[in-house]
Amino acid sequence: MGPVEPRAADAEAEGGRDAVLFEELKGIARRSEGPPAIPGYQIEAELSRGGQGVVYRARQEATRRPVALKVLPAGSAASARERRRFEREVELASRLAHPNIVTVFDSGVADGAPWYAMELVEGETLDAFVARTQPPTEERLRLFLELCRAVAHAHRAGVLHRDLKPGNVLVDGAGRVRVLDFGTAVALEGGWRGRATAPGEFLGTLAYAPPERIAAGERAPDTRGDVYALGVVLYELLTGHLPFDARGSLSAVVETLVKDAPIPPERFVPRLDRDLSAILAAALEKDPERRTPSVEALERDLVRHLAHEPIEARPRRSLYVLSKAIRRHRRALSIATLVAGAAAILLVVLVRERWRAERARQDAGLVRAVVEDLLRAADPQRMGGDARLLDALALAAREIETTLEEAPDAQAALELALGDTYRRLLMSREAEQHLRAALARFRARAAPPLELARCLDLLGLALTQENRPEAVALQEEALALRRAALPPGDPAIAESERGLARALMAQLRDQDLTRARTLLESALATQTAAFGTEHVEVAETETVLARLELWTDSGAAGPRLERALATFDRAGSGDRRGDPRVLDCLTEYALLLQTSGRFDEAEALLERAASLTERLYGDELATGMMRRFADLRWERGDAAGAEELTRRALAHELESWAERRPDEAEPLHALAAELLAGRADGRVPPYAAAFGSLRRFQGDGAFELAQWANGIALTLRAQDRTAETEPLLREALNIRCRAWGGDCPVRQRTLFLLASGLHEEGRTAEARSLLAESVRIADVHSDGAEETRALYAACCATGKEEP
Amino acid sequence: MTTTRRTLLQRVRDPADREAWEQFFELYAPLLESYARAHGLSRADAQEVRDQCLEVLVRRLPTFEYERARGRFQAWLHEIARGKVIDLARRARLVRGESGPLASLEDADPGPDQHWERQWRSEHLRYGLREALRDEEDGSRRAFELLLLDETTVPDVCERTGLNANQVYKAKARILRKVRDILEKLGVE
Repeated sequence: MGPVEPRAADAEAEGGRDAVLFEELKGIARRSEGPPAIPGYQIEAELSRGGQGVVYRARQEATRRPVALKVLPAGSAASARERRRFEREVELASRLAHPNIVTVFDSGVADGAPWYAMELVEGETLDAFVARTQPPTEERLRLFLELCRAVAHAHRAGVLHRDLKPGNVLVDGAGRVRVLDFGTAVALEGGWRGRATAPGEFLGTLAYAPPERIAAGERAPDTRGDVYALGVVLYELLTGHLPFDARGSLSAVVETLVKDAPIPPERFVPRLDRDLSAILAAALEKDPERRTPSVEALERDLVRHLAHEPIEARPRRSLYVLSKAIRRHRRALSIATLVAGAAAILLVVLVRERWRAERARQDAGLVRAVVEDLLRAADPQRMGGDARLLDALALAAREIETTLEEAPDAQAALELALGDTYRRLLMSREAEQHLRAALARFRARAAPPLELARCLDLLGLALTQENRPEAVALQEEALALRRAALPPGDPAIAESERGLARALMAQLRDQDLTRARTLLESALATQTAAFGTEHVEVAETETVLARLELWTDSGAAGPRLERALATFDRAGSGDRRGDPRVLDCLTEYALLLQTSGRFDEAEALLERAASLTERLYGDELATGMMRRFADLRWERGDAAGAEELTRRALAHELESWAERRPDEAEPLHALAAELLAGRADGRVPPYAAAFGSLRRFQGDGAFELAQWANGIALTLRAQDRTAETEPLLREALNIRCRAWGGDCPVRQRTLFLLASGLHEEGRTAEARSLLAESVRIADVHSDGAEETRALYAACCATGKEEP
Repeated sequence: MTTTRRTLLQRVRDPADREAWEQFFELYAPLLESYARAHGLSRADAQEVRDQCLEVLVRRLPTFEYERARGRFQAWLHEIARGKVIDLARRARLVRGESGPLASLEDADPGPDQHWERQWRSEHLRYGLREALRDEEDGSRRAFELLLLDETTVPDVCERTGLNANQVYKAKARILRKVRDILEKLGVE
């Protein structure tokens, strides 16, 4: 018994110490469990409680506004990892300011417990809202688009959600979507609640997790995980079901999620639109590489679908394989495109601000958020490899429709700004689309004549880039409006004169060229009087005039270009970005020097033009510059070198079209590869096929192709490969005939080249009829065309000898 | 605790012992931050204090002679933290023209500091509890957490955890002993 006593005493003493320690721990636990005292807030009620924190409804004492406070209990439940996660959550959430994201505005640590304060949103979850109101499909898509915008905004700010599901998306009293819990794990369902823990709910959450996360544990998470989750949400919104059967054992469900294709949505909604079905399939791709690449792309497709425009999502198996093999040419974001975009965005801001001042009922937060979105998208620091200025512009375009619906003036001004930006990016089609929309709005609202004239002028310039005859009528109208509204000698009139002259020159008709000269001379006089001789406007007009003079063999072009270039150089010496107008001057001058046999000087100017082109437009115009260098090689007598360059330029052009035409990518890539391999392995490169493909896509802009085809034909002739030139020259003739009609003077020379080839092959009769046409055109333009006439005579003589 | 008999402070003298450093940060980061907050610093400034102190610790701990003299490390860290809080508060006042409750801290001799003492103890208790519960089975952990709530009785706990009363008592005693061991190694009575 003896030895037991001391042990009992020990135990008692120990028990006593334990009791004290236990009480202390109770104190710690109590402080952690009960509502913490958070300075500046009065806690009113507990809304939810879960492993990831407790959410209280509280009131901010300073403002009296109701808020939601999320607190991570400081007690046993919170490990350091959870604490770090919570801190990251606060950090990430406070980076986001978007009308569709619940705002976090304050945070701190109280008595060892980290907390943050956010807006208290009164509303219900997306699935509950849809179940209750049963909205039509378009309304469901509208809600979903708001969700996309919120997530896209977060992605641009570098925040992934990673727990997107209808339970994390609220629809507030105003019908606006509000996304909760970025990088967090508390959901609101008719009230706050903790992370789902019951097995059924767990599976429900699992259904939104991208397969790559389930399958391989966590690889580096990226935005495509959120795209997948959005795909599941959209599927559920449209069909009322999950895309997978999430019943059965956990392992069975996981296997389904990782391996099985989604249940075709048509099983639930037999008449589901095929576009929507394709969009769902692309977003739910198992392989992230093949999934819709970004939330913005998903959003874009839905907007297109709503506008009844073709969508991008489609099975892309072949393209996927190809894209692995072939380097993709991205439109490089050059400084100039950013500046142009920033200008458009600034206009968005200004127009919005003005409009807001006029009508104060616009939601200020919404305006700010949209503008922020635009600015963020255009900020190169924040742009990932995929984000593009063009996306920002497209976003602006959408906002015109949605946000400014009730402000037609603002809509028109924005369309104009956007169109002009696209025009300066040399994206004529997009420019035309927006400028036409602006014009329609200006006309419908009987806008002031000068505003209308500006719109006509810009649309005219955009169409001139494409050699479209309609540009002439537009510029005529703009000029008439400016002449009527402004005093003589106003520089705006000179601008219109120059614009009209450009439009006329693009038509390549003699009578037009005469008128163009008169207009340009008048513009030049006005501008010199207004600005003096050394001004970029004067230099620009002189450049256009010099081009005209180059065509008509006037000796004045040389000095003009020299003068213009000097003016540009002086004006641009402090401008590291470079003025796109200098490009015209450089290339025209290079051409002039080249035709006078001053090859080295020409090449130096072309080098300058090439580096400026790259700076201004990335590699977008690289093919054009390569062609100019090829021309120069040809003139220098290096036909093989010229062909090599042209072949590379053509392959480049094909690949750049493959980028834009995913449906045709495979054949275009194949053609490009064949072009590059041809000659090297002795095969004849498929020039004619390449030109045929490009003509199909470029349509009215294909006149450039005719020059290419012509150029290659010349190089082939010089290498005694005349037989290969026939299909090329026929392609060039087709293009030129379509672009400028039968009497186009440039056709004359092409006809001659084709005929002389045929003549060499002994196909005299064919050659003769082509030469007859060529001589006719030469007569129309009073062109000497001695070579043509001589060959025609020879052919006629041969024809007489061999009846 | 079972992997090594050395104390946390001894272990962090080895810069390669990452697990020890993680535990060390877990314990002292919240302490330093809440101490700074308690002296009126903003969240950002408090985090700055925390980081600066941890930096000092990382640099100097490997050569810090820890002699198990109870409270010595506590006093040393308090001295560092107090200096940093004063620095940051001064800077905040200079930069933002704020006036803070710093006069007391600046003037007082670095003797007993109510905030520091209290937070030192509660952070260590919290840490000890967390560590002690770490390797416990779900049932015993849940039982202990329930016992910590005032209203729960042992029969309640049995009903909610499926353990019998004996298991509950054993778990309680075991966990408390672990907490005490952990605290003792950290020099906290």
